[in-house]
Order: sequence, then structure tokens, then C-alpha cells
Amino acid sequence: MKSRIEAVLLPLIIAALVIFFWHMAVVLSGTQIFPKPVQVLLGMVELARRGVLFKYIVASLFRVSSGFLLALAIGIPLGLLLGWFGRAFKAFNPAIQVLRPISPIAWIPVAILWFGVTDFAPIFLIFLASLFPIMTATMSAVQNIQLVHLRAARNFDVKRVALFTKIIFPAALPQIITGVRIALGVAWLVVVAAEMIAVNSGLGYLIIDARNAGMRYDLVVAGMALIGLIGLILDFLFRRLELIDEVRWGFNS
Amino acid sequence: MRSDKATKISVRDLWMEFPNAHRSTRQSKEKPDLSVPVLQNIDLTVREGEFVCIVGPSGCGKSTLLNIIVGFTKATRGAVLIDGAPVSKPDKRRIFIFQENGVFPWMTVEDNIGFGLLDKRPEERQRIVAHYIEMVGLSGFEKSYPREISGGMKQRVEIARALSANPDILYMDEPFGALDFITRLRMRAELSEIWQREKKTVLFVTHDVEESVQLADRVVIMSRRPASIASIIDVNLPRPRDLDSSEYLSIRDEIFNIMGLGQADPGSVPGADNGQPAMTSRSVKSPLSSRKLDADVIIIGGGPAGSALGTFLGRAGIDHLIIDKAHHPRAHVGESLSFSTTRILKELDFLSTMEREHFVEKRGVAWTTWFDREQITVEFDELEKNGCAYQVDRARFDELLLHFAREHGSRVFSGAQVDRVNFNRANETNGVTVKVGEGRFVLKARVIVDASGRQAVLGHQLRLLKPAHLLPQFAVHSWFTNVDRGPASTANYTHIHLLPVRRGWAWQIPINEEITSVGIVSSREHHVKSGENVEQFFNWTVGMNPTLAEHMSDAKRLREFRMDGNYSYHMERLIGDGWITVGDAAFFIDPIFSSGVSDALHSAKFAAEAIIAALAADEVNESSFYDYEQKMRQGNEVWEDFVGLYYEMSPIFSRVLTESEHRLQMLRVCEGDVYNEAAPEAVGVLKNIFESIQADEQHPLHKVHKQAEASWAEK
Repeated sequence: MKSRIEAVLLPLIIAALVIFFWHMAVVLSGTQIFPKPVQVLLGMVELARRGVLFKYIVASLFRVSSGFLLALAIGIPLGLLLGWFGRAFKAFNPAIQVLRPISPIAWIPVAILWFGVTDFAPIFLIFLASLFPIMTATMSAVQNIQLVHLRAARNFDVKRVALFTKIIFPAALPQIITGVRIALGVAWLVVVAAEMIAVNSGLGYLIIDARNAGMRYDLVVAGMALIGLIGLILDFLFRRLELIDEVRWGFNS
Repeated sequence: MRSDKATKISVRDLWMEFPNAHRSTRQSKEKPDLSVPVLQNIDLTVREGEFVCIVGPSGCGKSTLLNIIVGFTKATRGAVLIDGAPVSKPDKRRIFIFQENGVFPWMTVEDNIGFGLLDKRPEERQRIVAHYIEMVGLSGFEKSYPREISGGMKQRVEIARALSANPDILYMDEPFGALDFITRLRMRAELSEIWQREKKTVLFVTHDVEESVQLADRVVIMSRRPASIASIIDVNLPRPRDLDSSEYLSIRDEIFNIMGLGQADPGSVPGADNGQPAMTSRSVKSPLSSRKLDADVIIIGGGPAGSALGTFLGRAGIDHLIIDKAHHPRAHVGESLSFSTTRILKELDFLSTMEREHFVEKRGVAWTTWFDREQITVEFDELEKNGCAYQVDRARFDELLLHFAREHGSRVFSGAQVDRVNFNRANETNGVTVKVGEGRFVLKARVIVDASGRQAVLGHQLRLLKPAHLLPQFAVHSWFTNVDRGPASTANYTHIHLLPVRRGWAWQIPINEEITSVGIVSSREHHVKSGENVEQFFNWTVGMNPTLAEHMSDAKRLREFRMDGNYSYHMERLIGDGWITVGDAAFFIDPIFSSGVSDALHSAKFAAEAIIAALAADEVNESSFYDYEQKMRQGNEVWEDFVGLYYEMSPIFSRVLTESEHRLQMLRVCEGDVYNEAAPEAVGVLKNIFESIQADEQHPLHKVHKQAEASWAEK
């Protein structure tokens, strides 16, 4: 009970301190451009009143979830297959390792070339950004399945589809979930960059637009704060997945 | 005999080599690339329905052999045939049971068990799963996940998963190796039962010779690496196996001998010549000499005597095992602890637990008679300032004391019954035979302590029980609420209410704020009047003592009446070579002075001292326990004389006690101090006083006694 209170209270105190120092720093430095916390809050209220706040959040979430789900749908099966079939792994892994370190930002020109100024460009970037963490986590999860479980499965004559659905996937799932959580964080990072290029809605667009159209740094920081908060909420929701009975064995807590 | 059965598994001329493990290290770079031979020339036939164990020193390659037979690993040379067909891969008709973690952690218990039945219809699958869940005793855990159950239960899940696939053969690779000692013994017994029922062919790898002889039809003994079959021993013993029988022991020793002689010459170990510590160069001790004891001391029984002894031994760092028949909590009489008990509880450091539990503090004893309304009391204050004893719920007290022993290092084996104590040819004890379910097994120890209470395991086995010259008493008792406990100052005392029948009395013991234990004790002659209706008998007898009747006028009974017959007895011998008896297993005395727990704890203390000294001197024969026996015998004699005398003079006993100038000396005996010099003297004093009262017609108590005796005769 006491530790629960602490878990909520201590972060709140730190947040309050940060906001306080932020406020004091702005006041003491006399800057006219960088906003005070309260101005950011008012900025958010203004956005809400203009009716764009909700719209932008939904637009960003839509792009992230589209790209992310696409990455899940392709990355997990691909990861399972590459993790399981040693020969395929040997063939494809070098290519994957070459593509993986390329920043999604570097793909922006290519995305515009291929998809033009449509929603598909940011979705493609988000897809790329989340695909690699999901795929590599899945591959290594499959390669780390305990030998006893595989032997038991072989002993019971489990083959092909059933082998994947009953053994390989559930055995790899805890590690996959960890990878997917990391991928979601990356996807949410990339959404800002992706929305800066080619679209006219979303939180990324809000930030670049507020700066370009009149140095509204209160709105810039409001956009940043919203991205942070939503990222926190998404991560929290994902953590709940670790409590599902079928995967709980893979997590210590 | 069994040769008419068909050959199930046939291993022919099997050889196995591993690539040299040192190949990549710098030292051996210039050495020729040799591979390490693991198995050499294995030929083995297993018949249908046979239980075959493979034993051998650790690391000898027996698991490798099993992996090849299953089809997980390929042999370098040779063949494995099952039903005449060569094995190339694992098969659903032959299931392998792993040492640990074989169950799937992402599936529930029932999904794991039904794993081999995915091609069956759901209803049928459900039926089979339910059957095996029941068989391995996991009912209620169907929906649990493996992380929620114990290691032993997981192993049962795996066995059930294997059986439900209805295989011809079960392969087991040290399946109980990762379990704790006690669970392992239990699982062995269960497996033996299951195998007898299901009659599968079983190939079982273990390094435990005892385990192999207990389970197998045949034991295959492997030599050290590179392993070949050193010998195959038939175990033609009926099941369940009598682990004391000379046949069993001689087979076991034969296997130890073969393993002891089967040691390879260390010089021939590959890799030993390049300065690297080779896997196999670790010396394997002769199994005969390394045959381990399961504990230094085995205590039969986890009652107060066993638990207290365990605590004393645990403090002295002596490895011991308490084998307890019952599961706690259990009900018990003997709820009033005498004053001398407190001292031992203090030595045990148990008083803080007593206080935490809020057991009723007992500061004296009160006596009432049927012929006057006067209550005579003795206070422990007289013996010691603020002295107190306790009234306890025995179920709770015993449970706490056993728990306390566990905290001080006792290993406790609950729910197991000691069948007998084992003796060698020189008549020294060397262990006990324990029964769990249908299975029996032997546990070895240097000292066996019989703390089995009135079950008196050794007393019965060696026919050493002798009835005391005290007559048997019978008790009817229960728990009540709304019992009037008399004046507030003595409410928490133990009350002894005398009854106008020969040797008849009733106890009144406060268990807590509400509950009072009340029991009637009397001779057989009175007791037979209880007939069919215990309630009527109880109420009728309670009515014989006006004080008691008053106390019980509003009482409400809380549970069924219980009945006990108390035959006082003692053991002809309390000790022997390697054994010692304590508590009720040593002697039992009429409960009038609430002496049971006190004697149990005193004997535990004295026995612990004797055992600790004997083990330190490395000599555990009869003479090491001689002083213990002397002390206990004196205590027992004091009790028998004192209680006998008490029943002769009971109507006037409390008066004599309170009026005598020797009252303190006698009170100490009443409260359980019977193990010192002063105690026999006190009995002599009391006897003299009683004789002088009987001889002196002018003595005020002379007439009281005569009248009381007359009223006994009337009833």
C-alpha cells in the first residue's frame, strides 16, 4: 500500500519540480520566445477551442497505428519463419542487418518519391521504423526457445502449422511482446518527423506549423508535451499485456 | 518367466562419440583432432511391459544413451530397434519425460495434459484429461499455470501428459532429480503404483541405486565413461517392495559392488594427458562407502516431544529429519500444561510465541469435592514469583511447536507413516521403513528417536510395552461455551472436580475467553454406564459434583464428545544401540497431573543432550544413553507411585497438600518436577503422612477419608 502511494507520489513531485524550474528559468532569463508552462497549457486550451487538438491527436494515432499494425502483421510471421528456418535466416539476415541501422528519416525522400504527399508516406516511415525491432526480437525469441519444449513437441509429433501456433509462437511470445513495446516507442518517435514532411494534420504537423506560422513556441511545446504524454499512456497500456496468463511466465514480476 | 514376452526395445552394438571438446583451445591446437568416445558397444534388450532402470556414475553417458533410443540424437554406429523397426526420430507412441521444465509454461495444467490428444474429439479429450488429472492427484488445479504449482506437481503434470497420449513406452531421464528429497520419495512411490496399473514399458535413467532397485524389474549398470554395460541385474521381488528384506538389500549391495569395481583406470581417461582437467578425471567414490545417510538423526513423530527434540538438535547443528504421520492441525487432549513445562519452553525460547498466541496463562490449580463446597487452591506464585503455566489448544500448540522446529533446522516429512525401525545383524538400528500411500522406502540414520506418542512404534515392534500397575482410566470430553469458571481470581486455573466414584474426577480447562474444555475421567466400571447416550452419561456425572454442576448449568457444547481410554504403561527398555524413546512413546501416565507435555519436553531435552554428546563422541550405542534411561526411569517411578497414592487418598489429597509443611516439595512433583533427587523423597513424605492419617483415628482428615470411601462403595 505504502509503496503504491510512493509510486504515484514521487513522480508527481519530480514533475512539479521540473515545471517549477522551467517556469523560473523562463521568468529569470526574460526570454520572450520560449513559453512558460502556463502559456503551454493555454496553448492547448486554444488548440482545443479551435477544434484541432482532438483532430491532430487522432490523425497521429491513426498513422502510427496503421504503420505499426502493418509492421506487426509482416514482422512477426517473418520473424517466426526466419527464426525457425536456419537456412532462411542465414540467407536474409545480412540484408536485414544492412537495412536496420538506416534511420527512418533517411527514407523520407524515398517515401515522398514513392507515395507522394499522401498519408501513405508517413505510414510507410512508421512501418519501416517499427518493422526491424519487431522482426529481430521475434527471430531471437524463436532461436532462444528451450530445447526441452521443442523436443517435447517433436516427441508428440507436432508439425507445421500446429508447431507454430501451439509451440513456437507462444514460447516466443514474452520476448516478442518486449520487442513490440520497443517498436511502438520508436514508431511514436518517428511520427513527428514523418508528419513534418508531407501532411497537414497531426502532432508533428502542429509543431512545424506553429513554428513556421508565427513562432508560436507555446504551441510547439504543447505539441511536444502531448506527444510525451500519449507515448507514456501507450507504454502503460502495453505493459498490461505482460500480465496476460499465457505470457506471464516469461516476465519476472 | 518373462522371456515369453515380446522384445520391445533392442539396442544393437551401439557406439557414440562426441567431437573433441578441446579442439578449439590453444593447448590442443597441435594435437590430432580426436573425438571423445562416450558409449561403447551397447547391447540391450527390453521386453514388453518391463520396467528397466539404467544406473551409472554421473556423466557416464546414460542420458546420451536414452536420447539416442528416443531418437533425439543419432548414434555414431549401431542401431536401435523398436518392435523390430529402426528408430530414426521421436515418436508419439514413446514419450520422453524430462528432468525438469518439460511442461509448457504457456498452457494450463489441463491443456498440457491434453497436449498429446489434439487429434481427438473435444469430448473424448476432456474425458481422458479428467481421468489422468484425477490419477496424478491434481484435481482442482486444472486451470492453473505451471508457474503457480510446485516442482513435484509439475512433474506429475508431465507424467500425466505422457500417459494420456497412451504410449507403449515411457522414457524417463532422472525425472525426480530436481525435486526435493521428500517429494522425490513420494513421486517414486506414486510412479510405482501407476506403472503397476498401466503396465507400460519403462526405461528409466537414474544415478540413484536405491531408486533403481525399488522401481525396476531389471537394473542395467553402466561403467564410467566411455560407458559400456557393466552388468544387468534381475530384481525378482514382489511389489510393493519390502525394503528391509534381505533379498532387496543383497541386490542393492550387489549393484553398489559392481559400480565400485567398475571404476576405470584414471590414466586411460582421454584428455587427462594434456594438462586439462578432463570431465571424467573427477574421482568417483566407491558407492558402498559413499552410501549417504538421509540424516544423522531420524525422529519418529512431530508431537511436542519430537518437535522439542528437533529444535534442540537443530540448534546444535545436527542434521535430522522428523517423520510425522498426521497433517497439522490435529486435535489432542492434554490442554493444561503443568508448571514445570514453562521452564523447558523458556529454554526452547518458545515463550514469546506462547505470548503472541495469547494462550491462557495458568497461575494455579483449584480442587473441589462432592462433599463440601470449599474450593482448595494452590498458586504457582509459591513456587516462583509470578510463575505461570499455560492452557492451550493442543492442535494449535503442536502445530506451532513443529513450525518452530522447522525454523530451527528440522526437516519435516509430513503424512508419512513409519512402518518399522530397521536393525542390522548386530541389532543396531540403521534406519526406518516409511510408508507413503502404497509405496515403502528406507531412510537411513545413525540415531532413531521414537517420539511416536502412544502409537509407540518401537514399543510394539520390540514388544517392550509393559502395563503400569495403575488401573486404566477413561475420559469423555468436549469444548463448551458459557461455562462459569468460579471466582474471577481462579477463573484461569485448571479445576479438578472430584466425583463420588472410585478414581473419578473432571477437568475444567479454559482454552480462551469463550471456550472451556471439560472432561470426565473415571474407571471402566463407571464408564460402562455411559452406554449408548454419551450426553446423558456426561450430564449425569457432572451432576455428582455440586460445584461442577453449577459451573456447567448454562454451558453449551461446541463439538462432538470425544472419548479416550488411557492405559498407563512404560517401556521395559527406553534405549538401545542407536535408538532412544521419548515422550509418550517411553511411558504414559494417568493424566491427573497434566504431566504429558511436561514429560515429553523433559525427555526431549535429556535425549537431545544424550544424542549430542553421543554424536560428538562418535559412539551411539546403548551405553551412551544409559544416563538418560536412569533419569527417565526415576521420573516414571515417581509418577507411578505418586499417582497411585493420589487415587488412594484423592478426597483428602488437596487438603493434605495445602496443609502440610512439605507442601512445596510435593507441589513441585504435582507440577512435573519428577526428574531430580527431591522427587522420590516427596513421594515418601506423602506416603508417611497418608499412613499416619489412616492410623490416627483422631486426625480430622481420617473421618473425611473414611466417609468418602464409604460413599464410593455405595455408588
